[in-house]
Amino acid sequence: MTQQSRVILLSGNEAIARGAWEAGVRVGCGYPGTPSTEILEALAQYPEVDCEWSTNEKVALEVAVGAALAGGRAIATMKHVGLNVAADPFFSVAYMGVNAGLVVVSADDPGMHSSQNEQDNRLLARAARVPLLEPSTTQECKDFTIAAFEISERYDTPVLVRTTTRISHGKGLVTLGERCEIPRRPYRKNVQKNVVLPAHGRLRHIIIETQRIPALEKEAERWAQIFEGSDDLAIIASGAAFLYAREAFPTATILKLGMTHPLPRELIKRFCAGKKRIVVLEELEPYLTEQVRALGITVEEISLPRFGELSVGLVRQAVEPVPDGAPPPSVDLPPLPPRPPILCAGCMHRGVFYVLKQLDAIVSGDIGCYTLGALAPLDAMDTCMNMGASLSMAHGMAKIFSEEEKKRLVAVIGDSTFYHSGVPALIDILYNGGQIVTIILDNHTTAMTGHQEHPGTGRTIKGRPAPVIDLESLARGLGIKHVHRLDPYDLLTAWRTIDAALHRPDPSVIIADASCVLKEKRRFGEIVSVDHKKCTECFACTELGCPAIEIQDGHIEINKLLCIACTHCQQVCADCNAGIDIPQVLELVHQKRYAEAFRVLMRANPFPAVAGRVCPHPCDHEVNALGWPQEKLYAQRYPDLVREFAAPGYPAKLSVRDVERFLGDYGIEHFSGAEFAPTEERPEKIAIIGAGPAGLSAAFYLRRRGFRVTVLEALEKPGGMMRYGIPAFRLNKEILDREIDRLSMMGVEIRCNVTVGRDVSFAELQNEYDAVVIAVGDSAPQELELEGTSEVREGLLYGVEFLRRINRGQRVQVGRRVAVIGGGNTAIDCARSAKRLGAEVTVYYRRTAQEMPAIRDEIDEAILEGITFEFQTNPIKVLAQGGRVCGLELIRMQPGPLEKDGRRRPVPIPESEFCVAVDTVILAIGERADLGFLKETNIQFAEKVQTTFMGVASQPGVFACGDVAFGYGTVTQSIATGRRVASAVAAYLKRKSSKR
Amino acid sequence: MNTHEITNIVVVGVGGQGSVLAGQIIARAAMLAGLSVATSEVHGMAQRGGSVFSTVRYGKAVLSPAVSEGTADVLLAFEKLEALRYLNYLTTNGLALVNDQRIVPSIESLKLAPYPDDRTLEETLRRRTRSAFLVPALKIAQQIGTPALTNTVMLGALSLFLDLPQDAWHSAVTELVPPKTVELNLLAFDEGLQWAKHHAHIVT
Repeated sequence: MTQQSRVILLSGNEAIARGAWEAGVRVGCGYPGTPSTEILEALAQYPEVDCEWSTNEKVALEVAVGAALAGGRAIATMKHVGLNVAADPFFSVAYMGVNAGLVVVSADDPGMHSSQNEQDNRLLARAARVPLLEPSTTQECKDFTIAAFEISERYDTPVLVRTTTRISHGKGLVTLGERCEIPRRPYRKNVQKNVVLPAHGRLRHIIIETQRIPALEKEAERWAQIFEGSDDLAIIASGAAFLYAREAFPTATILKLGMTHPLPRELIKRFCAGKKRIVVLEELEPYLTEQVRALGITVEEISLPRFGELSVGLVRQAVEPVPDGAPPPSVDLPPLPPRPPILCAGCMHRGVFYVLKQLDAIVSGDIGCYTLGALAPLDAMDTCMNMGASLSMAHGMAKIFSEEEKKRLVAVIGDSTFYHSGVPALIDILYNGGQIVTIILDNHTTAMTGHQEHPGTGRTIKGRPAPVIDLESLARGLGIKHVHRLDPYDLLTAWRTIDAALHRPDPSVIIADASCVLKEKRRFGEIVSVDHKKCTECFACTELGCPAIEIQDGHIEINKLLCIACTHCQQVCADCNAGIDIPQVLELVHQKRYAEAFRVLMRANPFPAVAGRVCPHPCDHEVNALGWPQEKLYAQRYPDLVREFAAPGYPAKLSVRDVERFLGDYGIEHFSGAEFAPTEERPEKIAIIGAGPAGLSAAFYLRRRGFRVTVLEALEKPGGMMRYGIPAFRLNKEILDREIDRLSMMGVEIRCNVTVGRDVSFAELQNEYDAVVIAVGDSAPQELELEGTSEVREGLLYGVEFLRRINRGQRVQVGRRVAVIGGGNTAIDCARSAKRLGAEVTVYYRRTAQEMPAIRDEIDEAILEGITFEFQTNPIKVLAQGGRVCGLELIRMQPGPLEKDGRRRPVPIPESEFCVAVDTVILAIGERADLGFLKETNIQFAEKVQTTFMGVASQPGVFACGDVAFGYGTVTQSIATGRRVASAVAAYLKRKSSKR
Repeated sequence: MNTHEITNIVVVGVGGQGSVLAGQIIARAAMLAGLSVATSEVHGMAQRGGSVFSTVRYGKAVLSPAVSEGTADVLLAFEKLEALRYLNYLTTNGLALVNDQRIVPSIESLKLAPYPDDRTLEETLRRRTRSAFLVPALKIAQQIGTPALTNTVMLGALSLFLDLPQDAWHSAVTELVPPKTVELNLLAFDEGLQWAKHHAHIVT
């Protein structure tokens, strides 16, 4: 290359690498960590430099020290917290001194863009008595690095170059130079210097304090720069703060410090002499401020935060708020959903964390992408402190935990982190008789910092092949007896492996083994899609927190651009109306762990004994809504359960609902409500209007969180449709009573015979309670405009009212011949109830048999009981004599044009009218909500209360669930919405209390 | 529009959308125009599908890459929600170029607040600036062939409003996009510029 200089755009990190290269550096070591990672990546591109990703920062620095002592220039790079790991050699090498130049780079992270703290490593330089250079620009990153090597050699000391995120990742123009090959310095044995015995160290310390530091103080003056300006304002700054200062106050006099340890004290005194206002601008710690004040200089008190990053605006505001220079006032933004980082779609970590959540594990976590497993909805991490701490912290926890807690305790650590500092902790556990289950999340890369190689990848930073330090052999070699490898995409096997380990009295190591999907960019198979006919909208799949799973207009959709067909969601989906974790329940029942299975059931459904009898059991689908062959898998996995719980008429098919009923009854037998009482009380009061399945479900899950819950019920007993809609021949009301009793024992207050709008106004509830949940259900009959009804005084009934009267034990009479109009569950229940009253019953439904929305089993039962069905038939007129029903005029229907919901609208066939003789007509064409009590409020509603998918209504503190908001029309789906709204209410109250 | 010595640009989007590369192209174009440049970007954990914010500053003598609230001349947003999130970085009546694309955040986030509707979005933008444009960049990119060209369409539109020469833009795009996609990217850039010429004549 010619002498002609070249100018290019480089990041601070790249400029440091360039500087090291130009300075003739021979060895570069480091451990990846944002914002330092790219320094070594850039340096590794130069063939002259021997670079390595070391196992950790301590090792990196020690390798660099060795290289420097041996006579070659060396650099060690790390993030700020990495210097804590390397602090031991860092402090000692300061005493030893170097031979060839040794530079340590610490990239600090004010603002914690990607770190666990925002420590200020200027303090570490001072504590270690190491000279510190702080570049402000990208050019200086290069120049200061070159200078650092020279200073290191001249003063026989390691030098710390400290950057901050803005400097490391900021880009600027850099003038490039050439590499200067530095001849190797000869190696000489020097025990006095290089063996840190106390006797040697004492002498070295004296030399540092009496010779090296004073000499460096003089050196520091060379790296200071004065920007002359007005004498009104004198600023002292370094690093990024200098840039902000210079921009905010272009006319001020500024002392820019390049070396900030030791400080050029004499120069500072000279600079400050005669200045009116002296301001020190610095990010984080008042490191300069305190030292300048210690010189007897009066530094103005300004209010800069001791946390976070500075900016031009902050600096200006702190020193000299100029009204016309101030930024324009902010415009008010609407509430915006946050967008935090999230595990990628198809990430292997998700599988492990989902299983840990299933197992209700106490998780001692570690540092990496997988720390995101701590966030909702996975919520599967209890602690994360620093690199490698997961194992040792778990070991400490186990020393105090109860046996029950210990059975839930796991340590979770990434592969790279395990090599970094997990290994000594594992040895400690083994040596000291610990029993920890360690899960190594082995995604074959250092993912979070951008896919760096590590001892397990088989490659070095230079791309050369390297031996693979096999985790399994390592663990076995240490003497761990139970070492398992698991596929994090096979949830059940993962569950079994981790569950078994938790129940073992020995330590075990489980290696969750799969490549990072962001690195491999792989796709597993056919992209998942949702069969909306099957999807129960239980939202169980959303518990995975996968970004490819979206909710659009209340429906689950898979984002085809993001989905990589990892199958996690397919395995979680079980087409359960209530969103029960069926795979885990079945496994526990298979293992005859009924109490645990029951507890898992209760996480999603507080009425399993009821649901086990009345649910339309979509869980029987052969293939689930996300395309997983669940029936086949159940049969393969659990032949024992298939034998015990075979679906009626299908000896090879497992009836999941029967398992649920079995567990529900087991729960009634063995569990009181006290079992589910909250462990801590919260002060907030919540009113729930309506004691139906949705309202009681919301009550259960809110009370469980410790809230004070009152349920208001208009009728004389709680239960809603479970009590007053479903006839006794389908659901024994004693079962219902036993399950509702559980709520009372937990401390839920249920007030019956209270009608909101009559006995208490909605506004009063809003005043008295912190949140109100509307769960009144669809309790009023849908009216049908039918000719002739106005003249009828006897023989015309509405379905819900008819059932309610029967269920209340009131006397109900029907004629000999009963016509039921409708095709839903209410219609079938009416028909079967009328049959039991001795009538001849015919059900008239305007669509085809296949389109009937009622539960299939119930229709079959009705047919067996001798009830007649007339499909594609619609009533047009009720015939009456003297006010008494005597007949019905009907018309035949045929499929007409397609409607929005994909069904064909039935239209009459002309001239197909006919009459039948009946004594009673029961109209059961549907129900609607009675929302009169909302008329005086601003809450938006039409036929339903308008809510988000979580049940949040249009006014703060008001929520709705069940049919009045979602209209699913089944007990079990209403239960799911109740649980969902409970989490929305809890989140709302948490936000409210944190604002207080 | 640029009377300041330094032009402050804030580039926002969602991790994975390629906003970092877009920032680099702007910076490179400014460099080729002989100007001093500083940029900053976010790495590490923040990139995992999260909200992404980077800055580009260019002019005669630029020191700090940081842009503080209320001082950006341009808000270049690759996603609508992110445009709102960082709207207050824009100076009053600064230029807001917003890709007309929604990327819905996670379900957990939507539990905290709904995605704002288009009317709210536009009204809020207008409260800050008269120069706000919703660019159908995704649509234009798809018409050319692939949604991956969205950012380049946006850069083409942006180029109308900045005082950097077109050949600097072209060279910057050519240098920084993957070699096989240069032609398509230049086409996308031009389509973006044409869109801006047709729709943005009202801006002074």
